[in-house]
Amino acid sequence: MAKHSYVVKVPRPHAKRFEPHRPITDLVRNQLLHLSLAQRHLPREHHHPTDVYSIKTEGEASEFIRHVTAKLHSMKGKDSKPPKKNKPRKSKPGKKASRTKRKGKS
Amino acid sequence: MEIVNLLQHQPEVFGSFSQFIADCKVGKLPDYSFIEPAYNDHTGPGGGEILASDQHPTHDVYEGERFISMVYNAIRGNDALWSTTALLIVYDEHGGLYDHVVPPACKTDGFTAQPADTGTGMPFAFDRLGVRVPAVLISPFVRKGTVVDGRIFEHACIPNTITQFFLNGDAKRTDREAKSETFLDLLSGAMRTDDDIPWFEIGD
Repeated sequence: MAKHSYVVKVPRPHAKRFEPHRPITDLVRNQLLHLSLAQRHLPREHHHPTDVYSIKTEGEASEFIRHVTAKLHSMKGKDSKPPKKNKPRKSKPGKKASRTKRKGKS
Repeated sequence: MEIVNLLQHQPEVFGSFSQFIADCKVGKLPDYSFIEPAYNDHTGPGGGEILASDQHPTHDVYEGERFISMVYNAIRGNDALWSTTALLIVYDEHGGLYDHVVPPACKTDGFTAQPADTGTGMPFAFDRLGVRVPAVLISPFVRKGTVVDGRIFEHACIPNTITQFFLNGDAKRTDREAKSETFLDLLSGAMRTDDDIPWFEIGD
């Protein structure tokens, strides 16, 4: 490039360095767990079919990350809410003993 | 903001690397950009092989060099951007290598990690820095041959620099951040010419 008189060459790593079957690190494992939580804000049909805990390799992790990231971006501007939590059942009036107490557990 | 909330709002907060490159080209970068490398070897959307560029062992450090070169060239390739941008390359770990410098004590920010969370069985009050990690500040306003020695820069210097530059230090922050160094005085030289400054030819 004529504009630059001081050019430094940066080589590409050897092709054999590509190892998508390398086991993931704890760092990536944590990223996956965070993304799986973020995924809960998406409609179920957009969820990745893979159980996040079954992901073992970098290639699998990347596929999951790419899928969830793309879906999150596709929902840009749309209202996404986390799934409703199941509220604990209220005991009916007149029933004094709770389920725990009935079982006698402390 | 918790990280899950950050990820949930990913489209508003995060872009792709290709978007960063495109934004550099047209000069549409935000005032502050934070760039993360790839952490996994994987097949790209088009089928090509993409190597992790995070330089963690056992990833190939050459790919990290290529990644940094791409970021640098993207900024360097736009004259207006180059003359108004400081690129800071930092690491969060030292790679497990020995360091003869004893980690110094530091100002605490009042938060203590509990024994169950530190993995050591002991609490940690964040009152001591770790071993040294590299930091490279790139800008045409850094004087040629500058090597910073005898000053302690730590990661709190990044928000402190930003707060000082954009808000004149007028923001609520911890003691640790407020009392840390800034990079601003290193950016006070005259703008250097093209002849002095490298361009990277990146291998495909």
